[in-house]
Amino acid sequence: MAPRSLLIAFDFSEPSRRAVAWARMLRARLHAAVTVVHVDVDPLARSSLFAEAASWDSPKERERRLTRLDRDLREMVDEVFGPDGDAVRTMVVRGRPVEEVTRIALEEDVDLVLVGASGKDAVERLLLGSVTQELVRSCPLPVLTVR
Amino acid sequence: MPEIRRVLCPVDFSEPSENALDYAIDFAAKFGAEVHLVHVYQLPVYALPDGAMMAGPEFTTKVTSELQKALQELADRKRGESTIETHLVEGIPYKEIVRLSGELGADLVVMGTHGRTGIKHLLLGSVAERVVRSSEIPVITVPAAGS
Repeated sequence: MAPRSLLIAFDFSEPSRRAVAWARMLRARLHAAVTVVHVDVDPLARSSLFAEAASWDSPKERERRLTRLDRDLREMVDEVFGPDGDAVRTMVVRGRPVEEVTRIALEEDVDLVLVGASGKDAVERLLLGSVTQELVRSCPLPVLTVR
Repeated sequence: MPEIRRVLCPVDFSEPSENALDYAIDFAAKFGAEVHLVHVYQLPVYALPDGAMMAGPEFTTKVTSELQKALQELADRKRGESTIETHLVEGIPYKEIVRLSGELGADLVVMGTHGRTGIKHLLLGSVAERVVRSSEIPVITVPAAGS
């Protein structure tokens, strides 16, 4: 039952960086596969009313943004994992974080989701991030929350 | 890198909490870590017009000895190769769990969500959320099978 495949929900916050450090340790000790996903929140997707509507940014802007996030994520992974970084998968997707993380976790046969306790938002910094809370509540897989 | 030497697993004798215990034991075994089982109970206090009324010493002794027995039986049944210690604590569950994790110098809390009430998020579920919210150390929340 010890995890063999880990998914980190990464948002560039300090707690989520600590979650990556945990994943590195678990990978080293359990030889678990690691995937890091960053969900780029579509501002309009925050409200279900506008989920189907056009996004704030143009397709071109969006593409540039996703390419930059992809690069930042890769840099972070290489920094933390060093030469092992090549074995770590990175993904940048756009949408609603809890939905996307759960979907990817189930699709990729992940057995442990790692997440930072608080998000990047100023409001979320002190408390438990809303994404984290919802993941703990609704994700059908074990969730490791790191402060 | 984070280390795992001591895993704290709160239980309420429900099936989901026993699942989480199996998970904790398996996880701990991979790291040669100790498992500490804790059950937190609360004794009823009744508010009356003339002041509060508490359970008498006879009732209290009976409850604690029954709980101690149940906890010990659970530990003996699950022990196998691993080191399992038990702790029976009176108080507010999430507070005592967080306090004990600090006192023991635990590295990880593993606990089930969806406790013994049929209603999701009540009892252990909400205790788990509160622990995630206030714990200084990482928490793995293990959802009930089939949830």
